Amino acid sequence: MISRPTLRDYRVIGFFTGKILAGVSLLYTVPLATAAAFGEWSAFVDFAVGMSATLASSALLMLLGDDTRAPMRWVQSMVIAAFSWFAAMLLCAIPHYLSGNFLSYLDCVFDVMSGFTTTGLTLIQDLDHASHSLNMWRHLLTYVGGQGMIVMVLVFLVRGTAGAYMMYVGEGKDERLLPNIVHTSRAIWLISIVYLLIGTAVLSLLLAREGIGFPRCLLHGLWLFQSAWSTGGFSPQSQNILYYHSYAVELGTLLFFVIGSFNFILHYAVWSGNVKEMWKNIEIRSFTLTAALTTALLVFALARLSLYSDAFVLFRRAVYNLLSAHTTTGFASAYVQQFKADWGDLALLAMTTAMAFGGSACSTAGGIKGLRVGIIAKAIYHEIKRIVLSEDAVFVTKFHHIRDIVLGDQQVKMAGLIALCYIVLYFTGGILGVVCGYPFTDALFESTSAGSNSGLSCGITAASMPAILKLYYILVMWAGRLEFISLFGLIAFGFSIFRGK
Amino acid sequence: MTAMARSRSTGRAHLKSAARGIIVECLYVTVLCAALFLITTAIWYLYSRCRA
Repeated sequence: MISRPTLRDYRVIGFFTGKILAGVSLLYTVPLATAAAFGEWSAFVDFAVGMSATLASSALLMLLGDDTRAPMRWVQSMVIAAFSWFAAMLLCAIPHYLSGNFLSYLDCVFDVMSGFTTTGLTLIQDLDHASHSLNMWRHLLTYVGGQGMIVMVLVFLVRGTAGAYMMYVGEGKDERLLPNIVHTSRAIWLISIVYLLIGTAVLSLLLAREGIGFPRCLLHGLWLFQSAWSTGGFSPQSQNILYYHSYAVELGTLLFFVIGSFNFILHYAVWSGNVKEMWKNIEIRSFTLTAALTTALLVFALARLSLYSDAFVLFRRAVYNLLSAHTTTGFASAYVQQFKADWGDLALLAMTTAMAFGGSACSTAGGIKGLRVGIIAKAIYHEIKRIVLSEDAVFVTKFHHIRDIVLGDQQVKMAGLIALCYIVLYFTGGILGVVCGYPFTDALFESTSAGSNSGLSCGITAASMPAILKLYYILVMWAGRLEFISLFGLIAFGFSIFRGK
Repeated sequence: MTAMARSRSTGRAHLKSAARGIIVECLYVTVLCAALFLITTAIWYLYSRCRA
C-alpha cells in the first residue's frame, strides 16, 4: 500500500531544506566582502538583500519544520535534495536580478541553475562590465555546486543525522570515500581546497605573465580555476577563454578541468598512495578511449573542411574544445558562431557525443559518466563472450574501480537505465528545439550541453530564446546534475500525495 | 618518539603522498594530451596525403 505523506514528512523536508538554505546564506559573505573591498556599494546592497531573504526563508522553514532524530526515509531525503536545489536557485537569483545585468527573473534563475549545476550556459547582459562581486558570486555558486550544496552543508551544519547519507545520494553522489559520510564530505572539500590554492596560484601567474595586472590577474585566476575545477564553464569575459588569446592559459585551464572531472574516490585513492589506480580504473580507461575516438572524429571533420593551417593549430582548437565538452566544462576557445557556421554538422555531432559521455561519477562533471559507459561496454563484451563460448561455460566479467568488482545484473541495469534517461533528455530537448524553429543538429547540441551540464553553446542560448526552452533547459540542467535520483524521488512523492492512503 | 613527533611524521607522510598523487594526476593529463596530439597529427598527415 502506498502511504500518503503525513504532516511530519512535510516538516522534516522543511527543516532540512531550511538548514541547507542556512548554509547557502553563509556563501553571501564572500561577494559581500568583495563588494566592500572594491567599493561596489550598490552591489553590496543587492547581496545584503539576497542574504536577508535567504536567511529569512531558512529561519521560517526551520521554525515550521521538525528536527526529529527519527530515521529519515529515502523519499524524504530525495525530496529535500530536489527541493533545496530549487529553493536555492530562486533565492540566489535575487542579487542577479538587482544587479541589472539580466532582462528578467527567469534569466536570473537560469543563470543560477546553470552555475549550481556547473553547466556554464548564461543569459547575462554586458558580462564584460559586470561588477567583481557579481562575478565572484557566479563563480562561487559554480564552485560550491561542483562539490555539492548538500556536501557543503554536511561538513558544517548537519552532524550525525541519520539521513545524511540519503541526502548525499540524492545529490547525485552515490559513492563514499570513507565509511562516515561527514568525513567523506570533508575529504571532498579538502581535495577541492588544496587544488583551489594550487590552481589559483598557477592561473594567476599565467595571467600575470600575459600582462594582466594585479589584482585582476588574481581575480581572473581564481574565477577561471573555480570554473575549471567544477567543470563549470563560466568566465568573467563574454568571449570566454578566447579572450586571453593565450596558449599557456588554455593549457592551464585544460589541466584543471580534466583533473576536476575525475571521481573524488579516485583522487582520494591516488592521494593515499594507490598510484596504480590512475591507470587501472575503469573510468579513466573509458574516458581515455572515448576522448580518443571523439577527438579522431572531430579532427577528421575539421581536416576535411581545411579550416586550420597546420596540425598544431588544429590540435589547439579541436582538442581544447573537445576535452572541454567531454569533461562537461564548457570553456570555449572558438567563437559561438564558429561552431555553427564553420565547424559543420559532423564536428558538432562529435562534440555532442563527447558531451553526452561526460566525465566521471562522483565528480563535479555531468553526462552519462565514464563508469556507466565502462559498465555498459563490459556488459556488451560479456554478452559477446557468452555467445562465443560453449553454452555450459561458466565465466565472470570483472571491472576495476578502486577494487576488482564482478559485473552484476543490477549494476548493468542501473547503468543502462540512467544512460537511457540521459539520452531521452537530450533528444527531447532536440525535438523541442526543432519545435521552436532551430535546426535539429543545433538543437541537439544545445540540449545535450544543458542536460550533460557542459555549457557549450552554438548560439541558441540567448536572452531572446523562447521561455519554454529556458524552462526546459533549467529542468534538464537540474535533472542531469542530480542524476535523476531525486527526480525519481520527487515523482514518487507526488504520486503518494495523490494516490496514497 | 613522542606523540607530537609521531603525528608530525604521519602528517609529513600524508603530505608527501598527496603531492605524489597530484603529480600523477598531472602526468595523466600530459600523457592524454600527447596521445591526442599524435592522433591529430596522424589524421592531419593522412588526410593531407590523400588529398594531394
